[in-house]
Amino acid sequence: MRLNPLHTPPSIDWMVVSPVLAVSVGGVLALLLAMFRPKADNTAVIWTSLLALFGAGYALVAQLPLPEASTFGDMVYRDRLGLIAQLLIVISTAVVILFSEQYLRARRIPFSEFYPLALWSSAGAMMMVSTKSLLMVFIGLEVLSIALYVMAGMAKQSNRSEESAIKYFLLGSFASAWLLLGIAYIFGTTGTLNIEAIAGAAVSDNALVRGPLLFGFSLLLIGLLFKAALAPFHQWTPDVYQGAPINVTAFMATVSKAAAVVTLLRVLNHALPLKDFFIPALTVVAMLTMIVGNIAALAQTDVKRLMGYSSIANAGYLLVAILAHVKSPDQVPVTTTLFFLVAYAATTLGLFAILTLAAKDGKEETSFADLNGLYHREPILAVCLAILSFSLIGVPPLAGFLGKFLIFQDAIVAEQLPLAVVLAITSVISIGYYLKVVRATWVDEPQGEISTRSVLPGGAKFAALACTGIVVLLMILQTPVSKFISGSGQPSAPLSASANAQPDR
Amino acid sequence: MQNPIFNQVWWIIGLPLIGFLIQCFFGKNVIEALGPAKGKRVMGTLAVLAIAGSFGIGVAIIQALAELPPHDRGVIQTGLDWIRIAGIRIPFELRIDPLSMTMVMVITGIGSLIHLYATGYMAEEKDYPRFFAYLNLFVAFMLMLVLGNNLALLFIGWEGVGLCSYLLIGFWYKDFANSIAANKAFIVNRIGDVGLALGMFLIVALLAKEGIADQRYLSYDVIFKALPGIIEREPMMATAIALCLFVGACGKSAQFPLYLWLPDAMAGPTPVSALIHAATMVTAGVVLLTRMQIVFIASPIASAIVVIVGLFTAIFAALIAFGQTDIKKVLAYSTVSQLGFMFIACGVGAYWVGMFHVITHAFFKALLFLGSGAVIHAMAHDQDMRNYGKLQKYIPITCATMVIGWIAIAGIPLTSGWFSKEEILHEALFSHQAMLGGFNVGLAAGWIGFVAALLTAIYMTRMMMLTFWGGQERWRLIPAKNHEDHHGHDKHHAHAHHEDHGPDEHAFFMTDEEMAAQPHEHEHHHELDENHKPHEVPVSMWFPLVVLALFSAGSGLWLKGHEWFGSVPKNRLENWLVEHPHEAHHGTIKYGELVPILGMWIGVAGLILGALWYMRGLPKSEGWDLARWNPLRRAAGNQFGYDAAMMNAGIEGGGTLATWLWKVVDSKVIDGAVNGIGGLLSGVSKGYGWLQSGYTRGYALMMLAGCAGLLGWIVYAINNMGGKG
Amino acid sequence: MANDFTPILILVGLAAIICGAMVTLSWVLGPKKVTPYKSSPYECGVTPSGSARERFPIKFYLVAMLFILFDIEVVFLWSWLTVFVDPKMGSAAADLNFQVFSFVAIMVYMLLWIIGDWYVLKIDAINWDEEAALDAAKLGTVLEPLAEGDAA
Repeated sequence: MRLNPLHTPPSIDWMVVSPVLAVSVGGVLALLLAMFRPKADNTAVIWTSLLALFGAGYALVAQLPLPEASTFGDMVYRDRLGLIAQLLIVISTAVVILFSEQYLRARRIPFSEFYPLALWSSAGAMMMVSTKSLLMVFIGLEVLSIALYVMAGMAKQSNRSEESAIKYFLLGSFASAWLLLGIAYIFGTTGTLNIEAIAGAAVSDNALVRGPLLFGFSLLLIGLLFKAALAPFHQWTPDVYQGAPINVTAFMATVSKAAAVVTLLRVLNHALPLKDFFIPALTVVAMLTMIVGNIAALAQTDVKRLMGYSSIANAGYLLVAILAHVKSPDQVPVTTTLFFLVAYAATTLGLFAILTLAAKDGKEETSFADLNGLYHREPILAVCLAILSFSLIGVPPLAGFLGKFLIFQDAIVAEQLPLAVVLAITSVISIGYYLKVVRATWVDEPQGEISTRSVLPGGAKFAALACTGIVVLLMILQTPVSKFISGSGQPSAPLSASANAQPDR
Repeated sequence: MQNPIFNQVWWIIGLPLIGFLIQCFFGKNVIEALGPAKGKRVMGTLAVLAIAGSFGIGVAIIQALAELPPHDRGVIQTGLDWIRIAGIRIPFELRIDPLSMTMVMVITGIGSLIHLYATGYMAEEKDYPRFFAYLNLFVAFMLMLVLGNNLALLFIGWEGVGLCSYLLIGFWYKDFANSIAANKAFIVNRIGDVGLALGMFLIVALLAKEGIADQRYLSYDVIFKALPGIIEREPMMATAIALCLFVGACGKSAQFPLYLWLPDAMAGPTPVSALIHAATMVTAGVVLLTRMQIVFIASPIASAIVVIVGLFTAIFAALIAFGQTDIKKVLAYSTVSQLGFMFIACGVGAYWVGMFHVITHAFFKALLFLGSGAVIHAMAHDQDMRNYGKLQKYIPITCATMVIGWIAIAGIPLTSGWFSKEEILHEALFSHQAMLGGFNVGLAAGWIGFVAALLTAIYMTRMMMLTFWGGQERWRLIPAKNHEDHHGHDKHHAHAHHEDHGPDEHAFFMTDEEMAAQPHEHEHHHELDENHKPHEVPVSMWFPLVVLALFSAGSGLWLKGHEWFGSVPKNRLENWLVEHPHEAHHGTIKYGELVPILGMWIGVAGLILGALWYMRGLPKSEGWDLARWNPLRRAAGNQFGYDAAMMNAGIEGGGTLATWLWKVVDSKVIDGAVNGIGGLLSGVSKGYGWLQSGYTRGYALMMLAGCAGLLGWIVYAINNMGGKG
Repeated sequence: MANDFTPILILVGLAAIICGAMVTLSWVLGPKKVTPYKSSPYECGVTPSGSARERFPIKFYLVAMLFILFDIEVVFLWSWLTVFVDPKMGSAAADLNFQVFSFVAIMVYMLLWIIGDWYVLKIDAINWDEEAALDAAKLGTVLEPLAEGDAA
């Protein structure tokens, strides 16, 4: 029996909320600085943001060995899954910030509010992944999304940017409405917003409980599927990715996706009693996503749009990993999903960091033709770009290969052969378009005037090289990274997302 | 309690690796900063120190190892896991046991001497750090090959030394012929590597099927414990594994079907030939066989095949050596031939004898190669023995040391070569290991081996006589200028080039432009002509020769002992390498009383025969005019057509096959299918663009459809499953 | 379970079919005589003037949005105040405890809210002067390209 908060002020475990607090307060400070800095110089804002992220990261790492805990009346929950996901979000945000400034200047986007918005957005994402309350999921999702809508439209001189913001906003609201309706159904049926409690209710055979519960649960899923860009709720992705400024696209592709995927994982994990209902449906969704994402990408001529489809395809792979885990939670670890997320985030961030080259004199050209001859201008980056593309294809020994391989293996272990087959075939298809990127940088010679910058500034170059380094090294570091993610060897809090915690493999 | 010195074994590999990195990253800068002369001295010293440091650690460890009781001499140092996937675990682990440490001694000891020699030999080389970087890297890989405690690490080393060998053969890569030779070595070795890899897979498969708890299926300690039981049940498996491994060994150790690359490998700088292609890398096959001897001992058939291949190679290569005029080629074939001897020893089950010959051979063959390098150095980089003669007068130290190497390889009693070779033939004659359908192959090999030993003595004498003694100084016959006009000279040059891919273009140290830019270094590089005056090599080059000469002379006695020298302990090496040395050979054989006599005198006989034949210099029948050559000798010069046949089959046959694959299979069948699928997919992709209309309402409609589909499925499922989960 | 919902589904389906049929049939069967008068937007007789797709100042939206912010603030403060003045926690100590805690909490909220308003003022979001409003230059954010990245 929980105490009514009206009777005693809740005692608060500040440690649990400290990462989110650090990021959001950092955002507020960054905004204040942005309002009062003397010149058009964002250095202080950037450093404040990075400091806040660093603080949050430190708080997260410090909490890793601690046991699971909750605070704010069970609204915020600390477990290893949440901590790792938050860490990924924090680091991704920091990397995005690293390569943003020079890009914004090159594109003449006078919007120093980007930094506070990015921080708040990632605070929203962190809320989403560190809770077991559906209400917090919704609030986090909205905080994440609303800031993203603004960021997507921040290039005011570009019609595409505005268009993408509006589209994202409209469709996002549409999806949020369903999500909220779904939560309402669930709450109406079970009287609770805690997913663990919901899982308990789902065991019930009472048709009057199960019917509306499933209904609400489906609507909830739709909201998350939309956010993770899974077919058929994916169509916003290419348009928004293409229109939004590159750093925002990178943010969407990593932070927003990580939050949605981890939440999806958590929700599905706690809905195991219902798995016979949603696994077939989601299997179809995963297949459709992989097929649509990979095939539609073949016809693209713009790298950003291509990355949109690539993001869809990767969301499909991630769903395969989640489904494999959900289907046989005892044999398949959660680690694969997170490992793939890490690999995907590193690859995508690196790629987008390199792509910021495309911004010049307030414009941005990201078609394949604009990459031509990059090999002459920035040979190191051309090599990085090739490595990252190969990682996305899944060429051994790069991170992407290992991620896909683990998912493939999991799908086989979980006896989801069709998913494994589709995964393999679509991966082969993906060679067709990722290689176009490599070809554009290495083979085709530039025609006419070069529309991109020729030198990548330091922050972006550092981000690109660091991400490429991670992509290359992840294979070697597989064991330690997996261990870090799963927390095996840690006495207190091994990773288990599911309510019926299973031993780690 | 383990001796803490064993923990330092990582440094044995680490030091050369660090040396390699230093050469890589700082070599150029140091030479630029300090100037060529001083910079080269610094980098050369560093390169030598890296190997010498390894040697020092090796000595410390081998002493500690010797203090342990014999059955405890197998210390394993485990580091991180390298590969750990479902079902198999491969850690980084090193094995300290008599075999590995013996090889460490050979590699680092001879390696440091050769490094020292190379600092002098390569002094005029512009790409100095690159050379030593490769050389250090080679030593690191070779050490990993012998020290690794599992076949996977051996394989890393195996491929690594192959790579370094490739890089060093093609060191003067601007000469196309060198690049071809390097490619040849690399490609031929691949065939062997396939065999080795298959053998490894077989072992893993067998052990995995057995369900052993310790999943380090490739580690020696696991293999040695588990494999005997398995191959006892399935003797065919022993033969299969043994033959696969033997194919690998044939590739790396240049045995008959795959020896092709070694003679061409002489294109590399001479220190490389000495270190890689005589003393260390080519013995990797013998090391592999010795390491995996349990498999071979379990399979008489495989052993017999090893003996047959070894014997044939020994004879075949010895015959070819008679037709060679290039001093390094003679040594190359003699290496191939001596490796054959080692394989005979392994085949008849006397593995420690194989290792004995590895060691003695490493000493005298490194000595001979380095000596030949000194000769070549003295003779303005001409390698043709027909241009030598009476060099003893000019380079006495080189000559004196090479004489020791010569009598050692010829098997003059009490030299190291005599001990090891005699032991091989003795073991072969009295063994019962290599049986092929009831026929004792070892016995036959022992008798025929004496012929090979005789041949060895004769052709080595030929080489020495042509180089150091004989009637005249034959390079005096080459006119000073305009050798284009000199008919004979031109002709033999052209021919030599056609015949093999050796580095006949003597002055390939720099391109023309670089030569023009550096007049000083150019002056060093005159052509060999009548005005040439050979000069003795610097101390950094003859010092290693002297050391090696001492070992060539004395190591056999030290390792084996002899009744004439009662104070020297007997069978030192056998007791060291073999855990349970067996005494007194088994039974008697027909004409057994001949064996000691033959062993004692066969080398001497060869020496005398050769000396008589070549005392008066170059016979007309071996001169520039190939038409006057004995047809047999001409055939030997061409490797009896084997090389050409293999190359033709490989290159032309491969070319035909490849063309067919390209024109028919690839462009019609595969491209058709691939392009078809690709076209189809891009069609679908473009068609999809219709759905991706760009209108938000369209997207929303799609979401609605998805939602309807999902909810529809839920309703259907509820109906069909009746609400049951 | 199935029986509970099937009638509703049937009802929904019937409704959809009937609605669709009514619209479609009248569109298919009905006579179509289009006159300008009939096709005018307002059949009541007002003549439309100009296009409806006219741009009008975005500040209307801004004001509306800001209004919502104030709305939310009032909703929060009002509901808090009603409890704050008389918590009825059972004891005076508990009352005080609650009052202190909730006051701090609401002040944090107000602080954030004030920063937001401050920001709004700072960027002149409610300045109706056409020239100045919403000009990024107000924030001093006219960005100069840095020498480093953009030399081309």
